[in-house]
Amino acid sequence: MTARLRGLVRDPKGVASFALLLAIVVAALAAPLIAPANPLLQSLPSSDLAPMASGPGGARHWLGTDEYGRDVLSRVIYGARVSLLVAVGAVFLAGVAGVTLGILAGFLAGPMDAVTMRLVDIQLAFPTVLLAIAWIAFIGNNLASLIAVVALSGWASYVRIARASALSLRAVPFVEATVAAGASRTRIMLRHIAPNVMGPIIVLATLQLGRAVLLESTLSFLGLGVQPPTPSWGSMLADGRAQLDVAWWIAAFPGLAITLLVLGANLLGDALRDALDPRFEQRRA
Amino acid sequence: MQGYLTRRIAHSLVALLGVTLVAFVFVNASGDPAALLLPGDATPAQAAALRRSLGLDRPFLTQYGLFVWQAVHGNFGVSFRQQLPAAPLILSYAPATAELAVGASVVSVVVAVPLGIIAASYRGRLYDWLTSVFVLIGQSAPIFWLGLMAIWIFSLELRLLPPFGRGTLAQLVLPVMTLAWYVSALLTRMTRASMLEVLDQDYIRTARSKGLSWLPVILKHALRNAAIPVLTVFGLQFGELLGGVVVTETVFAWPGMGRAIVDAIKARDYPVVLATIFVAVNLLVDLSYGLLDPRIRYQ
Amino acid sequence: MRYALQVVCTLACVLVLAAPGAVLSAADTSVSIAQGIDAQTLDPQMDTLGSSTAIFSNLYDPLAMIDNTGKVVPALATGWKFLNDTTLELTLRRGVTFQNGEPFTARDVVFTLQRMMATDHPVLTHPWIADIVKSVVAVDDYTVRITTAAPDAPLLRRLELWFILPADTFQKEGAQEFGQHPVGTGAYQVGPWAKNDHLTLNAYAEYWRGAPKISQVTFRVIPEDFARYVALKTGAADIVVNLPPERVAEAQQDPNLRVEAIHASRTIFIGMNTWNPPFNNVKVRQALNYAVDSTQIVQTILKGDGYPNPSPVNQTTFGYCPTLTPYPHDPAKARALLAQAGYPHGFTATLATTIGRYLDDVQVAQAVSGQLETVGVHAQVAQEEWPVYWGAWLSKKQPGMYLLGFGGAPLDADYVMASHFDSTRRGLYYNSPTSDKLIAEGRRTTSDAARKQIYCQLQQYLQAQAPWIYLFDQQDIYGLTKRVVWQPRVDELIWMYDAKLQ
Repeated sequence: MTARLRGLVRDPKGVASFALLLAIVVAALAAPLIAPANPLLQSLPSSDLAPMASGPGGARHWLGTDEYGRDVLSRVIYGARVSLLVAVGAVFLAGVAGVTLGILAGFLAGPMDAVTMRLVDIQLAFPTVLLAIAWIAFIGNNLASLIAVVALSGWASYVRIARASALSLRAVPFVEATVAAGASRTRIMLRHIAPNVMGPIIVLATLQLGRAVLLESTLSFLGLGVQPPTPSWGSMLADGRAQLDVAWWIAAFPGLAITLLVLGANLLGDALRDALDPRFEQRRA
Repeated sequence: MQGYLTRRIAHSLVALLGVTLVAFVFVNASGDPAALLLPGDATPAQAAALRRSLGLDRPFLTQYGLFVWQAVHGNFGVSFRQQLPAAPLILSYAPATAELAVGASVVSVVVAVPLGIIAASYRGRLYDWLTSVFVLIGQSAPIFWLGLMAIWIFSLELRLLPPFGRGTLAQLVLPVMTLAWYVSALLTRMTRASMLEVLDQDYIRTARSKGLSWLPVILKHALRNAAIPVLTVFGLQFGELLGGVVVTETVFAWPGMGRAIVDAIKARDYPVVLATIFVAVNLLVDLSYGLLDPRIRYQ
Repeated sequence: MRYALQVVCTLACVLVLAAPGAVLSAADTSVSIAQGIDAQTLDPQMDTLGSSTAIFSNLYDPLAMIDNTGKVVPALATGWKFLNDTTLELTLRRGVTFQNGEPFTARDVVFTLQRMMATDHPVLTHPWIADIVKSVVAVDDYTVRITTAAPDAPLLRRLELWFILPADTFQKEGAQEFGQHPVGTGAYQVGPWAKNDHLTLNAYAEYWRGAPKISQVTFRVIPEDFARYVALKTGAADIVVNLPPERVAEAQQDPNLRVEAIHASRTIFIGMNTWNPPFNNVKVRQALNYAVDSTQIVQTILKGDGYPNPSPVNQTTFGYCPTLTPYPHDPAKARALLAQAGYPHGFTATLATTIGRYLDDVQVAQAVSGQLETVGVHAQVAQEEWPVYWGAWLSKKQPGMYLLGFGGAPLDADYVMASHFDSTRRGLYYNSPTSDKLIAEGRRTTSDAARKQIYCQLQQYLQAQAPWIYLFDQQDIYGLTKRVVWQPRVDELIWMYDAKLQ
């Protein structure tokens, strides 16, 4: 697999998207260092300033200010934290749970498989956004709840892939021999099956990252996500939506940020998929 | 064949029961519909009395059992807020949502298929690149952001199109276009990808090298083979499309099922929520199974 | 292929460009009103939303209405007199017909009220009526007697929201059908209803006040603030409810638009759970009132569109005491009082607020929290969705401070007292024997002048006891296009009878 990943480096799409994502992650981590202002600091005399304008104190606001005088650039940078935290957390949670269940279902088969696949059917049948809305509305509106619901809406895809891999690997002579030799099933699953699942799972996870960001921002937009004054891109969009004609920057820049992050994730996922796809290898060779 | 059919129906039922159970747990978890229905000067005792009359004070399992029993007979109860039977009520919003979904699907097919074909045929050139941009924006930008931008530009600044309501063709344009961008982005990618695979096939290359005109070759051979995986994926993405419908309806004040169920959830109108889930899930399970079949058979 | 595509595109463009004309230029005598939410049903006793009540006032008439000066004016009742402390006799208007021809008589009044009072099929509105009204009787076709369980001075003002239903039609059709095809005596009758989209009302030519000048009124449902504003700017809506304050200046400068503002009957306040420490100490409650500067909040958060109010009674309401002196903004005094109460270093508590239910509610809560911080009180703002907030509030489970709004008809001081301070009604978070006594006295005293004195006493007592942090009265802002001449009402009803076109 590492050999194939080397192919990724030669793909301009992959490099560019990886750089983009890295930049966003670094910006989010270094927020206190690079943000020009405190994202929570209100200053009513500076409200609704256009990008590049300066406030009464002389501070220049590169992306303008919102209706409370808060610097948009700083809020966008800090907002990356929330979006990334929710997306990465949800994808990690969904990935771990989904892969585990998938491997167990595929390898152990029997009732374990049947129950898991029924659960997958249920989750796939449930309209995602509605599930999220209902969950937040009924369970509560906080960060943990948000991560949980985004994870819940995506775990089934991992199960499918992991299960398919486990099913096919189960029949491979090497594995059969190991089973016959008496190796513990857990050991087999961990040492032999899991590593082979990783490739497609990583591709899926990267693509799901984009989905998670979109879902989180949609929920924030509907008022069910991260609550103000914590800046999150979705809630900034929600705040700015009533002033599109007089202060377009309040909504435009967070929207752009969401688009870029999702774009990066999608492109990277595509590039990874291309790199790990044996047929693609053949074509280029 | 018969065994397969029974299995499929059994799967549908299990999924349905599971979903409604989950939904039922949710709706009973928080919020008191009685308190929400009464005016701001009602007392706790009055709220309790209303809860009793709505049957909400009975134990959870009793309520769920009653719901399933009635649902099997086609009775989904009466909406708490609108005093109308829940199932016909939610179905009355279906035409509006269908208009949006079908409109978006038609537009996206009309746009995406030619776009995908052109991009595949001129791979690596300007057309392909422009198509990529179109696809990327459609897939990455949040639907509600696109919708708000559309309202700003086309409704307020240009005064070309109305930003809300339903009834005239003009009112359909913005919501459909917004929703269609996302769907056609997906379709374009799929079409392009499968077209590329088909175009690579030897027999296509042979036909072209023989001097046969480009377009008939594409239409006769390539399209047919490219269609199947496209439709399959489209079916799988239908759940996502529904999510997009909810957001689009909210932004454009479109009176469809998506908005209706969001309102019902916020108001804890349980009969309507459950009826909608029942209808939506039925639809989704059938669709996804119908389209997943070929894939299952491959496995 | 390309040619065909061009033709199709051109056709589509033409259609698309032509159609807005059809949507945006309404018939000359038609007016559109944009609200955020649709009526749930057109049965006026089964929908408690304010936006729905605004619609009902056009379909139905009550026995009496309250004008903008607070005076009770005749509607379906032409006159009234109290036979004794507990019996009100109303003389009904003759010659009124319901919109389907059914004549209006005392039977309809009796039917309406009895439906409101029934315990077997409870209606949602007026949950208190069964406690207040004992019986209603038709003396003859045009005379009705309402008997109350105890002397009830606010009774006349309560009449405004009792929309009269047609007994025969209602009983024949049943509640469900009636809710979809309502019949009233009002100036407008129901037309096509596209749920969640728009409701059209057509003028009723035989209306007893005379046919309304505007022949058609359409209530449009537009949940998005921005879309409502676009509707106003493009003329797709003539009246927009709750115009955001940041749009006011712009609308005032637009030659096609007008802004109408009115002192609303709703008061915004911070209540406290006075059963829980530290709010059980009156010195603490007073200290918080000294710490909060409601004038500043109105100036900075609401941009001046509000009315600081030191009383729990709204300033447009009967019984408001104009001689109350507000708590001055005095952080030093606040800190001193806190120290006396045993909290020299302040304390921590929650401040629960709704999200978007009242204009700028979250921002007001945060501003209050900021002001309390300066005297050492750390108020953690907890934002809760309405169902969660209200469920907790009604179960007496809001633990500390809570931001809430209250008001509306009947515009009588008794209303807020009964709903928030009366232990015999709903004094959930505060009540006391002294205030109970005054409240009961105010309710049963019949002379207006005497009632005003009692309520002044009561308000002074409540001010000293400070169960609330008193904030402000809201201002209702409506955006209108210049073609409509219409005055907003204190009771927030969007009554279109008076309206006319330029």
